[in-house]
Amino acid sequence: MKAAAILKRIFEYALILFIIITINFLLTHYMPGDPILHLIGEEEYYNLMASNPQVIEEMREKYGLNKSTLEQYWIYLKTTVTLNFGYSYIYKQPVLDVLLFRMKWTLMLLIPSVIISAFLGAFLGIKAGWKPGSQFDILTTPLMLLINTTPTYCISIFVLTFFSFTMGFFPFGGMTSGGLSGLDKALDIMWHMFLPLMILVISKTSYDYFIMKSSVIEISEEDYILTAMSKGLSDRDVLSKHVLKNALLPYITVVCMQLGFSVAGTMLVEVVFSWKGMGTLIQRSVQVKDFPMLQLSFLFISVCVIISNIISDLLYIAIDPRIKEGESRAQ
Amino acid sequence: MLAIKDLSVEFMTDHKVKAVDRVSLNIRKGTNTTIIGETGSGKSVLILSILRLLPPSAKITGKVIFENSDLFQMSKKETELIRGRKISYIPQGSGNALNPLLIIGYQVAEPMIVHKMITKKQAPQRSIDLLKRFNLGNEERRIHDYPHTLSGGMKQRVLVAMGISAGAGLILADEPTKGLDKSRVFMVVDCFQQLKSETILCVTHDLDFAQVIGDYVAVMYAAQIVEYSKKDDFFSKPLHPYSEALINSMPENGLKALKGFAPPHDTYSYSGCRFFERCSFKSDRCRSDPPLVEFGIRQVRCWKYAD
Amino acid sequence: MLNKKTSLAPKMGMLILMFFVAVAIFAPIISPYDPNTITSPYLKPSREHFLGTNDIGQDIFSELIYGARLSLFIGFFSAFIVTLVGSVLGIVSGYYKGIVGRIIMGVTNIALVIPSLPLTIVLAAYMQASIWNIIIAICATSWAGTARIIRSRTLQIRELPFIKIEHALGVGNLQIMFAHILPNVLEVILIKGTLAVSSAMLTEAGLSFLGLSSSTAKSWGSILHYAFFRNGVLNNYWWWYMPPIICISLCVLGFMLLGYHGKGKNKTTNKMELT
Repeated sequence: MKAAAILKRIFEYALILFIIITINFLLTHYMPGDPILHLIGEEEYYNLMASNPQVIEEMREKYGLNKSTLEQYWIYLKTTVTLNFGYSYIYKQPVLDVLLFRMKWTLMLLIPSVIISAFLGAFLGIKAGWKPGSQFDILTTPLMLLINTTPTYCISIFVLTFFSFTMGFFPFGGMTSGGLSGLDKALDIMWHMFLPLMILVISKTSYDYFIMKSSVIEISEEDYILTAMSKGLSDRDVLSKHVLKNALLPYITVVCMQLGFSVAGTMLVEVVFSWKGMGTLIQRSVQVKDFPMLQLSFLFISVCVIISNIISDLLYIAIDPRIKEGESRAQ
Repeated sequence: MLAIKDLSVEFMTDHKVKAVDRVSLNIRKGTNTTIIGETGSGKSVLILSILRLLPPSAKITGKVIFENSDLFQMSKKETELIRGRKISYIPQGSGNALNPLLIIGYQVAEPMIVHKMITKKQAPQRSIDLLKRFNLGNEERRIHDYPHTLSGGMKQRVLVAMGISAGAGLILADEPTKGLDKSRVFMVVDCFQQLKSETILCVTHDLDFAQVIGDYVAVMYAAQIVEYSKKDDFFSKPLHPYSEALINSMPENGLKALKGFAPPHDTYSYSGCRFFERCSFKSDRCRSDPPLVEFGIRQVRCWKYAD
Repeated sequence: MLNKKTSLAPKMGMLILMFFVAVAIFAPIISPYDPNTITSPYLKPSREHFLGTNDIGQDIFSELIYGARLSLFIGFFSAFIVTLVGSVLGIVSGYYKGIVGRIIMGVTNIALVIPSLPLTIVLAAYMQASIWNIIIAICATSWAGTARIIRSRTLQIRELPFIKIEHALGVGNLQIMFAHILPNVLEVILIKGTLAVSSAMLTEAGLSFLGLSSSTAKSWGSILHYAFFRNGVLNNYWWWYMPPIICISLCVLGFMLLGYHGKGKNKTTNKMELT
């Protein structure tokens, strides 16, 4: 019964992935400008154009750009499936290699920040949602709202200038001081990642906080909470045995989904702290119009989002006994 | 067993709403009392207030004496010890009264676990025994099921089993037949008839149910009790015009529907009988508050009987 | 007490927004200089230049005032398009439950999964850097959330007796949708629209901060871009980088305060793509 539901979701996501690949194809081939320009970069393109234009024609042949749209599409799909995403003319490397290297650094910020803020947001959200209107709630909610409305890169700039420039507690950015190895290097990296990590944590916490708070408030008003109280459970037990499990269900799935979207979210923070992850990679690629790199980044982030969606769906199906065959997540 | 004295409940939301207005009621041990009233009459609030299960916005005044002590003077801890073990509450099965993420067996046995009467290991067997009493069917498997697999009638039976699970002597039940079709109602009736040793205070708008279950009947209208009497007296000769109208609306009496609506809560502060607009016996004196007239244990709040 | 708080919030939001809108409208009167006039660069705050000057000698205070114009314009204009498209698709797909509705819903669900900020960036990178292309990129990626909420609301409303009666009376589909269903979803549309303005402004600020906006366009995001990439932050010229940060945050706060009023317990906002 559940297997059918899972299969259906996976099929849906496969379709979405296919559509994203198609969008990428359409972008290269139908955006203004010569597709060859998009493949080899402006500088190279104009150089070749001036010196020996027949090379461009050869490339046109090689990439099949003279063929019909349908054939080109087929070629594009084949190269994508074989993970051949092209060559970055900036980094002089296959784009996939560059991306995987950078991804490592992004995950180093992303995974701890999602985990820490999931716990922190849950803890604070439960505390505020269980007794709405309490002193804790009145103090925390406006603060969280303020963090939530300030873009992360703005907080980053503020924090960077204060802690690094004015106080001198932390480095100006980057990831290592260089010339270190072993434990020293690890400590040095941690010192460098402290501020960006902290910013990601507080901004994600503020988001998680509101989700958990509203979830707890909603669950507290359910009939079964009254039933639990009527049995003689203490407030604490009502919270831990009846409210939490029900409130965690939507929370976990939202946090999982966030994992994928956060790849994009960390981007601007990385730029401010010159953290050489995916974010700075995308930013640089935009500046120099490294289109193969941009396309792969977009595809890659989409895959992250899809994977985290699948995880979140699977968790939901696993935890919630109410889910029936073919029924999608309650929205 | 339970004596309610001058109980009032006000909700302090946007504007004050008086949901229960100076209600006094005596529940005798081993008897069943049903409170009849339409939606919004305050009957559910009344029974929730006894166990102090109302949200903090509710302001409760009056006394509820149970086993020689006032429930409203108790500490939080003491109240928790009473809940489920001495007095239990059976919510209505049509709602979401069972936790969707916990198996039925655990929820039925939870009152016993909370009051440390059994260990968690004993829980499955105890819930099977309890559910067997109410003929849930296939109990050994059922206890591992989640609530969404139950029908409305089954849910209500599970809730009754849960209510008596820790051996409470006084049962407060909230509209046990609400949302059930007629063919299911008799199963719930059957459930309640099995509860011989318990004292039951049950809120309902189902007159048939009250006729089968109750020893005593209290009629609630617009936050007040307007009539209290023995069941047989009530159904053979209702005193209050509202009671009469209710009984006339029963199918066997020709389904004569009562016209109009109960007055809105914000008019309760005006003096006069609250049934005035809909009453067919009204006279000028009904514009001032009607007296509570007593005939032995029978009580009625109406000018008709004042002389 | 809680009620007092909830009714205070939208008023505060309104006040903040009215301030910024007034600044935007009266920009030429308020601003001491034309933001494009060039004087000496990197001046500190003084009587002549209230917030100093930037790297090419433009008055930052004047830039900020004209920035309100552009930021709010992009926000409102994109939100208008997004809400219009989202509402029409939502109502139509909710009303025609058959094949039309299913197709629109399928497309909406897919659009919801596609990460919008990266797609916006890719789109903006392919197109020439200009305000209009930024608006197009924002619109192309953010209509889906509105469409989904409006659709679910429409599904509820179309089951109400009065719509069924209209149907039985032979009232035309278009008339039912836009004369009878639309007024009933209007509140949701307005709330979503308000929040769409703030999310469009945030996206614009993010894109401009990354340098994807036209180099001559003056929005708060692009002021911040130059403050950051032309050493304003490195030298701790707070008068350069702080004002745009404050303006963006305040404005977003204003829209949030206004929009969350009446939103009640609805927790399905996809703000996460941006934060």
